[in-house]
Order: sequence, then structure tokens, then C-alpha cells
Amino acid sequence: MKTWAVTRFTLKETIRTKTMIIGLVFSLLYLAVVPMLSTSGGGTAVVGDIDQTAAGRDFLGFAMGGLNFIGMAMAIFTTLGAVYTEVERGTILSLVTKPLHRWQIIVGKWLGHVLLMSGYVLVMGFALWLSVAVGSGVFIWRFFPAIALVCLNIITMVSLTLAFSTFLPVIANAIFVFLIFIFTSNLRIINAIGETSDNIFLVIVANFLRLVLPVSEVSDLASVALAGTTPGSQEIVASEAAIFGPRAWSFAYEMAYIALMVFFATLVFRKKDLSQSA
Amino acid sequence: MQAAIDIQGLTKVYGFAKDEVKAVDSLELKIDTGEVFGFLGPNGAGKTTTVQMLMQIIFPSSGTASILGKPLGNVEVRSRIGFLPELFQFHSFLKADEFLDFHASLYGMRAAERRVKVGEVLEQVGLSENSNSRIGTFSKGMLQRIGIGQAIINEPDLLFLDEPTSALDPIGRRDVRDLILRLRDKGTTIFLNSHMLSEVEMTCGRIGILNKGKLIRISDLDALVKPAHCVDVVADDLTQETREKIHALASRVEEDNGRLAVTLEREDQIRELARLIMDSGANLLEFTPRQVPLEDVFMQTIEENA
Repeated sequence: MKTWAVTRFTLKETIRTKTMIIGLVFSLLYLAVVPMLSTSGGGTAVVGDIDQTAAGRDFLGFAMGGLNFIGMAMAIFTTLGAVYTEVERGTILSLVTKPLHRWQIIVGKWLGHVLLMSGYVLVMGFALWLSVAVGSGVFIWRFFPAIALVCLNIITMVSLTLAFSTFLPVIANAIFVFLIFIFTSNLRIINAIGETSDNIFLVIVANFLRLVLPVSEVSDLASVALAGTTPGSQEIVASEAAIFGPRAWSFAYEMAYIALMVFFATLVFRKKDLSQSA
Repeated sequence: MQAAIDIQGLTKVYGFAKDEVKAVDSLELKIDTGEVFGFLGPNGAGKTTTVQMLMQIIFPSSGTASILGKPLGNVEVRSRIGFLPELFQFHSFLKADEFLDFHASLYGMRAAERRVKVGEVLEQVGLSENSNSRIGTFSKGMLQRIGIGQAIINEPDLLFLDEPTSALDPIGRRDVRDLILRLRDKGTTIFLNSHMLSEVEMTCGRIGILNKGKLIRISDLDALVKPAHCVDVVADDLTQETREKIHALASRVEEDNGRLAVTLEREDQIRELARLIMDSGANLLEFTPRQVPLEDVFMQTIEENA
């Protein structure tokens, strides 16, 4: 109940932040603009002999990629100061002196951010799905497991950023998290260099470093989930997998990664001096 | 009687090696249940650090303490504690009643109980009319009041107040003083950190003076500010010889603009002093025995331990 009180408070607090409001405005714009950005022209613009389902899936795949990125960026920006700013401002004192374990504060905050961002992704995802369903009459049910994986990515970013916010100031946290994100998103290039130059060491390193932040791999997994089992899509997935595709256990690993980040955050926060002068 | 607070060798060290600073040094202190204890000291003495260690905001470098019979860090015991930090910061987007409701929920109170309690506390701290106002719009004094509100919302057995009147006007100070006295009458133990010596004098039964992290004096207030055989003397035509005799009799003489503040060892010396001046042929204009105010005791103690 006390943890839930922190969660409710975090929801209330975060939803009022400028970052959240800007993010929501941007998201509405994205919903309006994404059909124009999509190469297939969106679910409503499918013409001729192009298979309606394939076109709708292409559009959702494209839109999901954007949503994945926007969602992760929003997750990072809204969670950056979750703990550090509270310590800096001194507002944390009113929490830690109450009959709460410190882990309850971390878990309460984490849950607040997770619920908010998951809610955001699910609503946005549903809006995209609905636009295809209404526009072209195609119901692509595979989109939902895919969007669930996007949700998992967002939760991962929340967890990572929250863990770093227990000891890093906002700017440092932002730089650190984005660097990790950009670096791990481009490991495909290192892998490709290793493949073309027959450098097995680079290939191993690239594959190993994917463990630092598993969101790119799970994004690929979401694409696979959306592509489904049609012959054409299987071909694409198979060729992708052969190069740098998602590993079968990446989903389970991301779950463990989230748990590890939350555990790490509670561990750092458990014995942290919280005085502003300390 | 079980001590409400029992501190044993509590120490907080900041920095390393050459830069090491002992903010609190081997503090030993016991505060009885139902006591109102004033914790005094100049800025940087370690008062707030002590309270922060007791509230587990920061962790001691060494030493232990128990609060209400439980060791430091016991979470359950915090449901019986209230705390107003010195630099209390607020989530300014909340309304006053939302703020108190949130804090009540952290004590595990149910919604119906919270509704009643929030109304009562707003009344107690004089903010009933502002229950719907956002905290961000509050004045310093109102913030202090709402801070006190969250500290007492759980009807604590032990209340830590760190500078509770620093931002208040005289009316607010009187309200807080009355609140402390009411809580004391109900048996609440109060640990009061304050620079307002007059407040301490009016509310506390016992005081401790901390300087440079060390507890240098602890005493019942009555023993400190009792008539200390100090006499204000104004007299014309005091000869040098008489002055020397006064100095010989007194333990301390301070002269300010013709007025002598004479501190004596014993009560019977007051009469002796009067006779000495009268016999010298001086014209005695004023002879006023007085109490030593807490401020003088405080200053003297700090100077002696500088």
C-alpha cells in the first residue's frame, strides 16, 4: 500500500512535467504524420495489386519503429532525475523519513514510470493499429505481441535510467544513457566489419556487447513478431537472423536485465547519504 | 523508564585523510520519554547532522543509537515518529490537502481515516482556509506550517523539529510554541533543534549544547537559567578601591556604560556586595539581582569551549 502510494504520486508528478507534455504533443503530431512518412503510404493508401495485409504490416512495422524510438526517448527524459533531482531538491527527505523501506521508494517510483510509459506505448500502439484496421479493414493481430515487446524496451530504458539516477546528475545520466543506447544500436556495423574482414574477434565483441543494453535486439524481435510466418517475411527474417538477428533468449535476458537494474538501483539507494550538504 | 532516544558514541565523518572533518564526534545522549529536549549549538555544530543520522537520512560513520527502544533503521518505528527537516522542500504542484493526504498514505492510513486526519491537521496548523491552494503559492511561513502538519499527521510519540520557527512571524512562532506545549502535555517526546533560544527557554525541560560536533553541556533548563547570583549595579562615585573590592568578591564583573554586571559565587554574597558599595559612600542608584538568560549561558559555554 505504501509502495503504491509512491507509485501514484510518481504518476501524478511525472504526468505534469514539461517533458511529458511536450512528448505527448509530439506523439499526436507523429500519429498524424506517420502515414505520410511510411513508404507504403499507410494502411489507408494501399492500391493496386499490393496485398492489403502486407502493406498494413509494413506500415505498422515502420510506425512501430518510430514509436519504439519516441517511447524510449520519453522514458529516458522523464526518468532522468527520478531520484537524483529529488535528493538535490531535498524533497526526498519527506519520503525516506516515513515508515518505508528505501527499496519501496525505488520500486514505487519505478512502477510509476513503468505504468505511465507502458500506458503511453499501448495507447499509441492501439491508435496505430486502429488506423490500419479502420483505413484498410485489415486486422493485424500480430501487432500486439510486437507492441508488447516495444513496451518491454521502454521498461528497460526506464529501469536503466532510474538505476543511474540514484547516483548520476541529470545531464550526466542523459549523456551516459544515450551513449549506451547509440553505441548498442550500432553494433550491427561492428559485426558487419567483423564479418566482411573475417575478424571473428569483432563479431564476438559485437555480439557480447549487445548484452550491455538489449533493446536493439528486442526491437528486432518485435519486427520478427510482427512479420509473422508468411513465406516472404520468413525469408527476410531468416536473412536478418543470419547476420545479426535477435537471439532466442533475448526476451528472457531483457526481463532479467530489468530486474537487475531495479535491484542495482535499490542497492545503491539503500545506503546512500541523502543530505544535500553531505 | 525507557529512553525515547539513546545515542551511544554516534560519529559522522566527512572526507578522507587530511580533509577529514568530524561533523559529530562520539555523541552520547539519552532523552527520556515525554521530555522536550532543546538541542543548541552554533551553525555547523552538528545538530542537523545528528538528527539526520537519527532519521537515517545519512548513516553514522560509527556508533549506535536506539529510538523508542528500536535500533536505528527500524522502519516500523518510524510510524511513531514525526520529522520536520530544517530545509524542508515540497512538491509544489500539490494542494495542501493532497500533500497531507499523500504523507498520511505513507503511514499506511486508509482513505477514510486520511480524510478526517487531513482536516484536523490543517486546522491545527492554521491552514484550513488554504486546503485547496497549491503549495507552490504558499509563503515561507505557510510552508513551515504545512511542514509541521506532515510531521504530526501520524500523532507521533517522538517528534523531531529542526528549526521549526525559523520562517515564522511572531504569531506563527507562538502557535508552534503552543503546539509543542500541547504535544508535551499529551506525552509526546520532542527533540527541538533551534537557534531561537527564547523558544527553547519557553518550551524545553532540558538542553544540550553541541559545538564542533561535541556535546559540551547538558543540563536541566532550570539549573541553567536559575537565579545565578548575578546583579546589575549602577552607582555614582565608585572609587577605584571599591571597584577592586567588587572584583575580589565577584567571580566575574562586566562593565558597560557605567553599569556593572556582577556575577557572584553564592547567594549570601549579594548582601555583602550591597553592603560593600553602601559602606564605600557611593551613591547606589540601582541594584537588581537577575537570572542569567539562556543566551548568556549559551554564549559563555561556547566561548569556554572555543
